Amino acid sequence: MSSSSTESSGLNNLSPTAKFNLVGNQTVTRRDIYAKITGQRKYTSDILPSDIGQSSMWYAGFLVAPHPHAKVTSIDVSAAQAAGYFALVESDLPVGAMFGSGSRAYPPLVSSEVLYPGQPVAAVAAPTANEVVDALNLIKVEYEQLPYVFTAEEALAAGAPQLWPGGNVPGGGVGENGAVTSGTLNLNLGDVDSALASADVVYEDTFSTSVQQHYEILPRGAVAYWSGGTLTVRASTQWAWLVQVTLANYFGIPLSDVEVSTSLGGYEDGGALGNGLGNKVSGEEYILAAVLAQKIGAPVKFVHTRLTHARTTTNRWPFSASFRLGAMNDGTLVAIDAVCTANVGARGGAQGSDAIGDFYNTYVCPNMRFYSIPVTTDAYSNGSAMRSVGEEQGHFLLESAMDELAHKLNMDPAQFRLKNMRQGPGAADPFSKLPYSTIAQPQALQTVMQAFGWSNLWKGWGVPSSVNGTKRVGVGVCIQNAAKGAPFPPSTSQVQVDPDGTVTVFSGLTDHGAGGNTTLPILAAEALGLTSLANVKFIQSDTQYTTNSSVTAGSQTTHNSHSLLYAVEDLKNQWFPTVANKIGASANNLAFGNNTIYDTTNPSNSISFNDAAALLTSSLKGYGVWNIPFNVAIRSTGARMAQVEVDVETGEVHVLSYTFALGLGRTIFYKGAIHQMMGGSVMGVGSAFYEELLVDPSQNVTPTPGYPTSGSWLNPNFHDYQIPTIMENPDTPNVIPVENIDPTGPYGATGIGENTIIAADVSYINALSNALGGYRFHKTPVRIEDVVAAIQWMQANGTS
Amino acid sequence: MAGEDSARGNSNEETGSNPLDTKMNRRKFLKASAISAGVVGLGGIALSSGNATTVIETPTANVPSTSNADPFASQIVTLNINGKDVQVGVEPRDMLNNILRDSLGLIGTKRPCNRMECGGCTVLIDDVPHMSCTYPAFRAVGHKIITVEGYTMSSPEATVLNALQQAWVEEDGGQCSGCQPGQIMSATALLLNNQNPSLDDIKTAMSGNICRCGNYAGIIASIQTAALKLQGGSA
Repeated sequence: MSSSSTESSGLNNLSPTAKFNLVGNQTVTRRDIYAKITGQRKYTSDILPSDIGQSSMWYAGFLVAPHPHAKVTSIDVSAAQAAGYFALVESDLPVGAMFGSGSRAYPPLVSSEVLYPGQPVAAVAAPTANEVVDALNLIKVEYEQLPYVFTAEEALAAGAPQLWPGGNVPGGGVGENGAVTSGTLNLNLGDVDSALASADVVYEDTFSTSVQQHYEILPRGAVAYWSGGTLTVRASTQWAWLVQVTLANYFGIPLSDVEVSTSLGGYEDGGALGNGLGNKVSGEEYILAAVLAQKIGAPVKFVHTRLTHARTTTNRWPFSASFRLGAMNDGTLVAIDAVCTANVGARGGAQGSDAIGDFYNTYVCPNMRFYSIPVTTDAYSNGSAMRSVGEEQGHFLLESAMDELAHKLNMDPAQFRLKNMRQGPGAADPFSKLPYSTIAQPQALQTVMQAFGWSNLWKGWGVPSSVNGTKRVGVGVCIQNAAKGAPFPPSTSQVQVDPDGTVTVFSGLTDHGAGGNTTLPILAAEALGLTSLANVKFIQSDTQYTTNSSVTAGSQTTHNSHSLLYAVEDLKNQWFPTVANKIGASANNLAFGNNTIYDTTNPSNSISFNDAAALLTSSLKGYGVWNIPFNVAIRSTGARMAQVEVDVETGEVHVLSYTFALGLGRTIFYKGAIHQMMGGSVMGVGSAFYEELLVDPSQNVTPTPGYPTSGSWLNPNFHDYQIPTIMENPDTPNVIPVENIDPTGPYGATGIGENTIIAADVSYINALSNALGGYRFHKTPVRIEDVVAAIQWMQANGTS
Repeated sequence: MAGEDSARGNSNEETGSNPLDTKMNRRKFLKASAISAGVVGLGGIALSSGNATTVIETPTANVPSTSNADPFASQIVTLNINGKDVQVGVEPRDMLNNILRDSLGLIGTKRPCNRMECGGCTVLIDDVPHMSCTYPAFRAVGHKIITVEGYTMSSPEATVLNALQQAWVEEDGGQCSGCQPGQIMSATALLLNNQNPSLDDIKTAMSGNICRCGNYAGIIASIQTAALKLQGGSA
């Protein structure tokens, strides 16, 4: 077993000018794409009985509550059961078996009180997929509607319905790492009140965001089957081990009796999620599929419908921040005071404080004070990670406010950021005092300014870049500084070499679309000196074949796969003595060259990789363990500029171009990195202008049969929710990876992931503001009616 | 419609009460009424729902001829998929997507939304892109169906499909790729009709296909590369 220290392994080349075979190689293609686009790779929803060695299986579905807040007065499943279907309600589940953790854990089905529209109350299984609909139609549920609250403001008002004992603001006090669990002081540096009193310019304003849905393209689900006392679950999960532990606890069986994999993860063809975006870590249906499979004695496939997926799974929670910012006339930021209110949904998974770390890290300011108030509402299930945990929202709030402060100072907004942003060297987190492992500022912003041509395009506050008839083009800027997500160490992985030269990479991480299927094999193959991935296999995310490498989330898949380098180191230590013996060298002097192993003291003395493998009598496996270091702050930093066109006659908005530079440490899988940066920027177009789950706020309207009741979501579907299509794709994307070597990552890589969407929306919105006379938008999404209001304001103010 | 996606036809999910009598579900209710009527006219089914189209377009050979036939029963039909005739049992409520995926195991065709909003289930029917999630299976009888698995055929469609799939690898056309089979089928239809598409042509042809990963730049590059290859005859 190799060292689990946080020092770099001997194979970790951190030289900024290092030449690699596969790392950053622009010709390396995504390993699994051909299998996926020819229908050969199975996502969870594609699993057929034959894929799991069965002749048939049952299909399952949810019955979900139509009301946001109601007492369940009766559930009658007898007709469904009489028709030969299986139905589950809360009383069929093991007593005390809960989903989630902490004070707001809940059973995966509820028979008492529902707290959001879409909460599952029953599940059914039928022998054919078609009959699930029949079975659901036979269940009769009666509700007594209760008053509900959808927004944080409503929930905090006097006399508001209380969702949980103890009120609508969950928990209390300051938790781990300063995270606030109640309306509590989060950070207080310097003397904010005095700084504001003596500041030349004080700017106060409030910004807010909306409930958004992941809408990962393929819905969440699981296939479960029992063999004797052993349970196998093939789930579309970002963390097989969390599902394994949850199921073992639920059924009271040993971990060894629960095998969980991502899709068909134990096979080389496995591990396809159809995107996750943070919504596929845990799920009620993973448990319920197993319960139904046990009851029926047959495999059960339980995949969400798009409607139940939209309504029962988690959401990006809406957030508002009231800022008071102070600056001196020379542009120096002297005070940030903010109160953040978060609508965390019915279960309160998220914290109001999740974005605050970004607030105090992004800018250097001697006086900062932050309060956060997480508020429970009936709007949706659970505020949770959606391509970042609060940081996407937080950057819109912060970078809108900072932009407007620059406006108040009449200062070029890029120069304002260059002056005040946190930058290296010596950058440290002002709360934890930990030094950054790396920072891409000021390079990222300087690079973007140059590549975008900022100095030519920025014409001043309220002055668009160009006006052509009814079309006005504005430019905007923002910066980003975000934490890498929850690490849950250690990360473990293995690398195996077979006598025929085949290399197999084993990782508990999975690929939900970010390219881990390619990135991880590159990391191992590069360490082995290979120049091609042709003989490299990748086995992922299966509790039987791989080990826990932590959750595939938080932009840390690449970073956590540092353990692969330790696995190669361990493999080397086992393998090289045999090789040294063969070629007459000292094992300590051997190293991997290009498809060879050679003597570093006499490079002409070498053996090909395959010949060296042939010396092995059986497969050899190296084991790697790695712990993310806690003595540094690992953050992702970058900058964006965008050019946005608005037609003042129609209110139509189009993002024409953007330039986005992100410090990712080192580019590992080039095509994947570039496309993730572009993809996140496209998703940011949705966040900026389209995506918002709408609810009907009217209370207790008698439902019309066949139509949604009051308190329902109005747009839980792809059509009305408005995900960006190819029509909204910016025509001229320009993404620039900044290689700010991170010594804590493999080959210096920090990772990408969530950071590709963080701050994208605010870059477009700041540009739109510039196109419309400096009108400040206060919320996301900026919908067409907001644009029309801005146009009217601009015309009334004579700035058109 | 597959129970796996019961977004439609499952009204009690929304209201807690079925507009029809929930003591008897819709299917069994209709079945019972039809049988009690003794003689089932096809019009009886046609009146019941959108299945009217199904009945009208179903070739005579597949129409039940006996007077007391069960209008809900599965019937064996022949579908021409990727150049081969396939016999498969089809219920009147089955969409082509269910038959391809659940009955025939052609899972390359996805079912992301099941309500004609995302294009992830796109297949070609007589070389025209259709969303299979809402295309009644009976209606496909007698027509040429091509799915993303059709790359193994030897036909003009397969030539285009192959060129696109190769280009998709080179240009990194997909990330999670859950939507990409549908994207590729829409692109196949485009290139069958237009060998030299402009950017606007591409955007228009692909506007019905959502990619949540936002990989539109990769999709555009892939289509442009495939078009160039096909023009050079090197697919």
